[in-house]
Amino acid sequence: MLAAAASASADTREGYQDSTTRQQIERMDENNRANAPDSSLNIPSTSVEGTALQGWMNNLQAEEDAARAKKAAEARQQQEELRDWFAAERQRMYEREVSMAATRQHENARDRQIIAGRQAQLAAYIDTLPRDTPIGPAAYDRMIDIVAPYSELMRPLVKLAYREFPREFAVRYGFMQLSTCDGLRTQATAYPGTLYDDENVLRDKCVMAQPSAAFPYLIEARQTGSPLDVALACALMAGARGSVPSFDPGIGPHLGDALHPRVSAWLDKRVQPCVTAAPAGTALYAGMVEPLVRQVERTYGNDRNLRVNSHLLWPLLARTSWEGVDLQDAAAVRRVFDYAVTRYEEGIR
Amino acid sequence: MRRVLSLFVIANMFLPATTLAGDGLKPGMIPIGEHRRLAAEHSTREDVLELLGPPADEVDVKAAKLLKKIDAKNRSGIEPCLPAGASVYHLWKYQMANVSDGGFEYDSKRFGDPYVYIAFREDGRVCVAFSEVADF
Repeated sequence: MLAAAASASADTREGYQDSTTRQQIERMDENNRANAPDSSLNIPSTSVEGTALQGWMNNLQAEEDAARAKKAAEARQQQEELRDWFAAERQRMYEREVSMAATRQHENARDRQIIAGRQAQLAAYIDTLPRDTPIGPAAYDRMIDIVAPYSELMRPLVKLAYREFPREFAVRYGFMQLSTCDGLRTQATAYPGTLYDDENVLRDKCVMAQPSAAFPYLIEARQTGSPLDVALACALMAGARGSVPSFDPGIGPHLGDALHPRVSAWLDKRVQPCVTAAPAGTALYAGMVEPLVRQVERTYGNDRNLRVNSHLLWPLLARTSWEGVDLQDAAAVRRVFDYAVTRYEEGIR
Repeated sequence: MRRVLSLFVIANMFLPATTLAGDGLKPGMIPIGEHRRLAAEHSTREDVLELLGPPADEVDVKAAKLLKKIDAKNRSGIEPCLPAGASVYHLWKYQMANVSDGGFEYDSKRFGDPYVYIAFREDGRVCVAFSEVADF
């Protein structure tokens, strides 16, 4: 059985006797033999020289070479464009830094000049004071007015005044702690947009601690101060409570209570006594506390609107703003508040 | 730091209010950077408890060991806080936490210092609060 199978597979052409097919197969065999490579030379029959296939392959190779060259040229161009972009960007950054440094230098020089002028005015005023009597609260008021709103000069001066006259200056010292940062120029505390990079770190550290630093003095003012100081202290504390995010480095509107339950609770506990200390229905409440808190709450989250931790609110604290004002008259109190807000907005612009 | 805190704020937007009401924090854990709410020389122990909650631990650390192990930037702050005649710092210790996947946990790969230590003055006010890698 196996032998028969082997015989059948040996030449399957046996079954084509006298047929045209057999003759065709024999011709094919002859052709194959004639075209068979010379095995003694062991050269593979791959030569396509002069054939259509060679032409086709050459064309293919040429196309591939062209595509590769095009791709390489595109890559080179992209690299060049990227290099040019980096160079332009580097140049732009450099120019920006140079420009910022120049602006900063200019601003610093201008501030130094103004501060030097205020210092000279302060010294001149001190020279007018009688040497044989101690400096009183009114004189400190005047000195603070001279140097306002430059916290570089105000902070030490208000601190000195508070040490001498804690009852009279507690609310203003509290405001200084709430609205300025030690070691940071005054203008930098106005709003973050005015900051240079290195000032951001200082401000971030300072701003978060402002309520903790200020509230002991504001509470003291609420407990021991004049009716005006009590109302101012309560307005500032309630304003801080109404704008918790303004004490965060990154201001996130609408997240105050949800994000800071402990901070809010801490503030609530300290603001709560104001319900009796500066009660609703008084002229100071109606004319100042209530509108301040409402405005702060309405605009918090926006750097450029009213914040209690901005030195620009100083006109509300300045004694000169309150001279001759009837504190029992809500409309008169409101006029002072509106004046302070106007000055604040001018400062922002 | 600003970027980190911004991410922290954004992450919090997606959390339910109940988690943020303080329950999400285990005792002794504080959100990153919250120790900066304290004002040196002003904040009292009561303030610290109200703002940060009770500490995870209270540790006594020998001054020499502490000063050797802590970051240089923290040394000048803590050095004046050693009570006269004492050789040991008594510190309140907190664990930093960041909001992640709806819970508070600390990712030390993303944020540097995992611990916060607070030293008090003899009058009970905060002398210094600082974050630190060293675990005491």
